[in-house]
Amino acid sequence: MRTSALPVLAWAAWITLLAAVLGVWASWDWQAWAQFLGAAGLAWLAGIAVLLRPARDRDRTLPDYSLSTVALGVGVVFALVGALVGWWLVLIGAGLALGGLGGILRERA
Amino acid sequence: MSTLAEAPRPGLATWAASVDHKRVAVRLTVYSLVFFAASGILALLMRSELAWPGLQIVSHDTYNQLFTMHGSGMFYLVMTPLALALGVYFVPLQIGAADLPAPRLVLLGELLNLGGGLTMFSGFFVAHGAAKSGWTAFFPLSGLPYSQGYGMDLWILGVIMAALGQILLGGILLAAVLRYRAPGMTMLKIPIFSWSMVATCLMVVTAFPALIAAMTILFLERHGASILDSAGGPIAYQHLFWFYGHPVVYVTFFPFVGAAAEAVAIFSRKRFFGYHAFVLSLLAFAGLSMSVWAHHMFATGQVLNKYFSLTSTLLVIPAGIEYFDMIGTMIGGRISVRTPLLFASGFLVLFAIGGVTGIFVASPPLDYHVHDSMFVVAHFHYTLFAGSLFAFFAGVYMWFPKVTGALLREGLGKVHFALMFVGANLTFFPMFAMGWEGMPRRVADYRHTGDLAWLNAVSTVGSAVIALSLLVFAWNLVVSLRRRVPAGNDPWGGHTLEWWTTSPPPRHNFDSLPPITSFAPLLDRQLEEKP
Repeated sequence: MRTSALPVLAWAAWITLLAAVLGVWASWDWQAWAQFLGAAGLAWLAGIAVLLRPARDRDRTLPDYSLSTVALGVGVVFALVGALVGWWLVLIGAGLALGGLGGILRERA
Repeated sequence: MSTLAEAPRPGLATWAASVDHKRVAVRLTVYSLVFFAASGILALLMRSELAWPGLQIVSHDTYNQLFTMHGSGMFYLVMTPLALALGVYFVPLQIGAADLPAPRLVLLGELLNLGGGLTMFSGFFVAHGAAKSGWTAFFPLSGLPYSQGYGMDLWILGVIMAALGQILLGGILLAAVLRYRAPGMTMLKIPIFSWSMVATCLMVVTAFPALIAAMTILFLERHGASILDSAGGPIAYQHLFWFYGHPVVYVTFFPFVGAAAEAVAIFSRKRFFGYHAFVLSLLAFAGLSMSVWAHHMFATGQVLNKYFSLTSTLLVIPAGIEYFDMIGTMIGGRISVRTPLLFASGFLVLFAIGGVTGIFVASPPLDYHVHDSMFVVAHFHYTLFAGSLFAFFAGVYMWFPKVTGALLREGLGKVHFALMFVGANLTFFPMFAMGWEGMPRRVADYRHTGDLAWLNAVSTVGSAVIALSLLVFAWNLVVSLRRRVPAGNDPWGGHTLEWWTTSPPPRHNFDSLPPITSFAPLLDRQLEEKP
């Protein structure tokens, strides 16, 4: 068993217990305990991911900069603001984001 | 050994696009400090408005925008990003890693956070002004009939972007500690600060999605959907919001506790006392903090007060353990009264006031009395400003030499501390009395009754003293960077791995690593080398 996963799994168990107590005590307040259990579910997923992931390769190549990531970030921001301003900005943002994603794939190749 | 993909080309574009975790953290800190200045100026305007009854420096509508953007700025764009920035810089160094996993995603997280901040503040430039329904954006106040104009929508979109960025950063930091530790660094050899980041990031990845859900629903509601506009809608929104809104208080607290704990150990020249209890209490604290959100909703009468009161009161146990450990570290140590330790001690004193008054409001009968009053404003400013920010400055004065290679001026640091300590107490302590006398929060004016006038006057003077203290800090930064006093690799006799490497560290962080014998490997070496 990977010991790295232990604190995450222990923490997931702790908040599951707290959510369960709330669920028993306030079963009528379904939203409260349901959203709490949802968060506990996320913690379990994180713990299981750590448990199952193979050990990392310690030798890796470090990128120094990534203009493509900047394009992706600006694209996402434009696309989200476009939800308010109009489709034209959504399309510009989506274009930038796609271009950025393509660039990242090229950088990683 | 990790290698560099390509030789860095000098220039602003490559600096801004750098994925080196240290540069990302520095940029994130600079952006956060700019938003801190902007949000601080809004606070000074608010305090000026409240300095005396009957003043009308700004309109009531503008005042609503001021307190909304002040609170939003401080939570979403200052304290949370600052907390994460400390982690982005120092976690890889403390765990002996060459970088964070997924460095491009780290840059993306930073950009989303910045984009969110700019989007939120752009509300000041549109018709009807910026958002004005508080940093909580309670529905129906944040609904279209009561918050007209694009300012509210820009605020919602900005919050979504910032939260997305913060979840990315939190997830990557968590992965770093769990998967990228140096050989020999077991989980119980992780330094205190990095453990505080584990607890922080667990909350970020599990609680912050609720904020994105709340904001998405609010945006849809304002654009024609009918989700919250029902009998249970406003309470449903509050549940979602506070599920994020309470843990975020601890997200903006734990990393600074970790920094203060490191400062206490280094400047007491002693191994941190009660390491295992501290780690356990951090995890217990983080879990409990997920279970207390509805104490903000006691007054609604729609939640199980006894559960949330019980869990809120239980918080005193892990908090007490952390206090006990820090004070235990100082007892018997060879204390060196440097600026980082002064700020760490200030944090211990002031956060105690914030914490104890938090236990008051964890009790529903007391909470009913002070709910939505200036008492609550005093309470959370003692935790977030007087507590977390003092601990942040403990970290800044301790780690500045590592980041820049230069020491901050000690004399100016002590002046900064003294002014900020006095200013914080002058500003926030009178607010307890104001609240107890019944002054509600979020009002632009008040009657000349009781002691309210002079209490507010004192509080306004205090805010000016805080501003002065921050100017001293800014001057200290300028002086220390222009006329550098070289710090060397380890000016303090540090305990953890970041003090092993050069100041500032190279791109790949370490050329070599010492044996990792405990959570304080460099202290172990110092003790070994002593006859």
